[in-house]
Amino acid sequence: MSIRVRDLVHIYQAGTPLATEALRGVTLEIQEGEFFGLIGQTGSGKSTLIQHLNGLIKPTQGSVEVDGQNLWERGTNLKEIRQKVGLVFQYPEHQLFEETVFADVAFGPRNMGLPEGEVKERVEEALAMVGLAWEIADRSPFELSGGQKRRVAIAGVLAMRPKYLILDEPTAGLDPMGREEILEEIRALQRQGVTVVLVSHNMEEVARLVTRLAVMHDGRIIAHGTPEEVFSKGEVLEEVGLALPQIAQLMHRLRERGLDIPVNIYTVEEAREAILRVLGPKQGKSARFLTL
Amino acid sequence: MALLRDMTLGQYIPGESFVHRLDPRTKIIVTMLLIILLFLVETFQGYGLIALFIGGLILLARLSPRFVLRGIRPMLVIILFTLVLHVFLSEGEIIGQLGPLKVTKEGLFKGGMMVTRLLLLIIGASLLTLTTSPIALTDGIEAILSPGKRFGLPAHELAMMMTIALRFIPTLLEEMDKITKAQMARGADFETGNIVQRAKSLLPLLVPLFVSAFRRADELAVAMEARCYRGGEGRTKMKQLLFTGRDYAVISLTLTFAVIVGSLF
Ligand SMILES: Nc1ncnc2c1ncn2[C@@H]1O[C@H](COP(=O)(O)OP(=O)(O)OP(=O)(O)O)[C@@H](O)[C@H]1O
Ligand SMILES: [Mg+2]
Repeated sequence: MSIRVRDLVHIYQAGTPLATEALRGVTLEIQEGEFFGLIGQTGSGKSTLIQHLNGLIKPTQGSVEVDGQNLWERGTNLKEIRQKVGLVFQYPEHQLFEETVFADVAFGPRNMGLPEGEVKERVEEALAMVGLAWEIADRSPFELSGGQKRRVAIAGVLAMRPKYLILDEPTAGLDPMGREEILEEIRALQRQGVTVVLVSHNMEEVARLVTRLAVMHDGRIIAHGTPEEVFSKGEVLEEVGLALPQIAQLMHRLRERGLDIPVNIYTVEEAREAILRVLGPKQGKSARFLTL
Repeated sequence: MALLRDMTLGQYIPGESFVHRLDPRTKIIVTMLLIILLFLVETFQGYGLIALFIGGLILLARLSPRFVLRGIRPMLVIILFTLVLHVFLSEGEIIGQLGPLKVTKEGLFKGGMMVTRLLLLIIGASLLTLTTSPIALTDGIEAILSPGKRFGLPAHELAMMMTIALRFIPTLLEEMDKITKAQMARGADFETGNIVQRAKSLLPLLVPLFVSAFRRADELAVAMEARCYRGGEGRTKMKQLLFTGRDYAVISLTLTFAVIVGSLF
């Protein structure tokens, strides 16, 4: 079971002077259960790609399959696909419209035609997943803080219990704390078995969370694999204006200087441990002293 | 919603053609003349000539005729509606009957006229915005209205309002497209159901759209004030408008054309 994209081409406003080739042949497979990262600079085609995954836009060429079902074959129920593949847009709080948080989160489940009892259950569950208190359900979404709005919007997609969850820059515009919290919640979801696709242009963020990632540039995937595999091609990334995570850069440099140190490290904590380990007990002691 | 994206009205296609380089005032005057002419003329021969004239302009502007024609698509409903009203509701010689509805010869004629008129109007107006950048367009409107300042006409403010409105049509369409997709991702359905259900299904689109329009208006106002915008008083221009021989030639040509076609047809 997976999402499969083959030779996907997408041209916006094809046949006009304003035609833009946003995707130029993308092939990709997202396996069930993984935490998949999609990075690339602004305009590289990330949002265009993910809008194909639940059939919101139609490929100009190529195919998209979800669990073996081709989205643009006759007889495919796109509504079902959209429930299975939940998509959280960039700045999702801009799509809130209901009078209460409850009603807004319930929009998806109600569109699925679920009975009211089940709807309520799902709203409760979804609000809890994004760390919002049940008391908030009766308030107007418009009077919440930016971070809370964002959570309500994400809950609106979670309430449909998608098997695949795609998030387009879910942390854009949040403060560091709100960012960490949202990422932590996404990670918890993935541990519970939801397949997650995270779109981002923050290397640090992607590096420490995902199991696999793809790097997009100018409508193409220029590198993909585990973070280690992708980050080992530092020059390729730099060429397209993406830098390695800072800690990984440090590790790579230390290794270049002849230190026998692992390079797949993305947090300060891990880096410290690894460096101390390599330096050995003696030098390590003075180094430990230095960092204090 | 994809339909709305085809709206060429209000969009600008940068270019270096003869038409692009004309003074914006010239293009506004020519458009006005054509619009007035369209309301004076009442024969198909006249419309034929105007269509040729507009066709010539499209060629001169190096625009693809197909692209310009696409601009009509969003207006098709209005155009068809006009046609139906005229065909069935005009008195005259009956040439066919559809239940209680009578098709008259006069109705067919009038309907055809109105549709041709509307089509030429839309194409003519989109030609102006397609070849004139929004900034040039405001400058032109302001210059044309400025004699009215003496009588208290807020020429600059009016021009500014028009440009902002034009400038935001594509932005709002883009926004609408995004919100539509976001709600569709939550299972919203805009295509099925009766009229009441469909009208209700627009709520999830319209509320966020209004919210964002107000937010944008607010941000724009702040951004303008932050750059000390104070209205037209004493404001100088980086690009002065300048009439050249080309402009005089085009205006006199259009004027001659309008007078001849207007008086003959
Ligand atoms: N609705 C649209 N109509 C026309 N062109 C579009 C549309 N959406 C995107 N594009 C164009 O397609 C290209 C890819 O855009 P896309 O939004 O997929 O990039 P992105 O990687 O998501 O960028 P960002 O990081 O800024 O979100 C860009 O050149 C963009 O201008
Ligand atoms: Mg994007």
